[in-house]
Amino acid sequence: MSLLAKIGVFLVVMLLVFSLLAPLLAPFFEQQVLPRIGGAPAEPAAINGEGKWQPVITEPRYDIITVLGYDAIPAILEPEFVSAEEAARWMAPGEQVIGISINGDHRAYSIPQLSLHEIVNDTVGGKPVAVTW
Amino acid sequence: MNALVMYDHQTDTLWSQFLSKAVEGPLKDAELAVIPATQTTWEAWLELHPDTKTLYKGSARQDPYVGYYENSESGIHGQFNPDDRLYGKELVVGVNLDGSPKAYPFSVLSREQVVNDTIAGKDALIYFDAYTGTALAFDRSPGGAPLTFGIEGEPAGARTILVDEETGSRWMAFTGSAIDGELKGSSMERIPSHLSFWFAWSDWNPQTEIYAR
Repeated sequence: MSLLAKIGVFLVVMLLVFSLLAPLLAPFFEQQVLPRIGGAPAEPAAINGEGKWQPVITEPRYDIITVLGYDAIPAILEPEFVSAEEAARWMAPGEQVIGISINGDHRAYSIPQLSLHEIVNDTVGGKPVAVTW
Repeated sequence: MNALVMYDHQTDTLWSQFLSKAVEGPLKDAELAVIPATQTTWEAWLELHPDTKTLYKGSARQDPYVGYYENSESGIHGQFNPDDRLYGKELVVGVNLDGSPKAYPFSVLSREQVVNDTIAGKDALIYFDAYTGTALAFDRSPGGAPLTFGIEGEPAGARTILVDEETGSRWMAFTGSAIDGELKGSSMERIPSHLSFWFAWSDWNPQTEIYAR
């Protein structure tokens, strides 16, 4: 094979490798809350009601870092549910789930499925809930 | 610190999952109530609630985080307050009552499935099932006075029974409901708990205590 052909094959292989890896890497890039490096900036002292100086206590601050933009990981907005009999066709016995029960309404959310969506907007037992992972 | 930030479609406020409150936007500082959930296996959940509804999934898909669960990486950004009291990827169940965070490492719970503890003055029961990886926290004073629990016989997943020393009543470990004895019909309230990797729990709760026997 000529050198050019070898380079061509190499590029095609690398493209394939990257296209296979991309969906696996996607979940690691999302919005994150980070602490502001160095903590909260110095705040001026304030005078309290008795005229004494005292420090203003500020809440810890966080920086929000956007690693992936809005909806890059698509939340589930209109979840569909099936009966246990039907779910048993594709749920593995040892598969981890998040289970919630509200007012006698019991629901299971597969964790491998939650990893792909991270948020399910649902109404359980009449109560609006966000199941997050 | 590494944790999901969510936005809401109505106000575009940004919400932190780990803090369960709004961190930026019109609803800043509003808090979300935490609803106790049970992280367990499909099999155990089905045994507890045969009439459960299940989120439609379609075909079986592999969890994209499988490799991450097992490697030593700490989130995307690494740890911010590295705390080497435990291995970063050790799983813990964390409880934070009145600003007194406490972590129960799975390595300790796997030897001691029932912990009758007191957290910030509250009588708490931590129950752990090693087979299904289920860790739950309950208020163990359902009638006002604290009860002291032990496992009846051998742990049996979702069917595990706890017995209290004070009345000898029998309780379902996974739900906290008394099924037999003097307290039959009573149930223990869940205490909000957080199952997470140690690096994340200690990043968000740097003053956390660690339970040790």
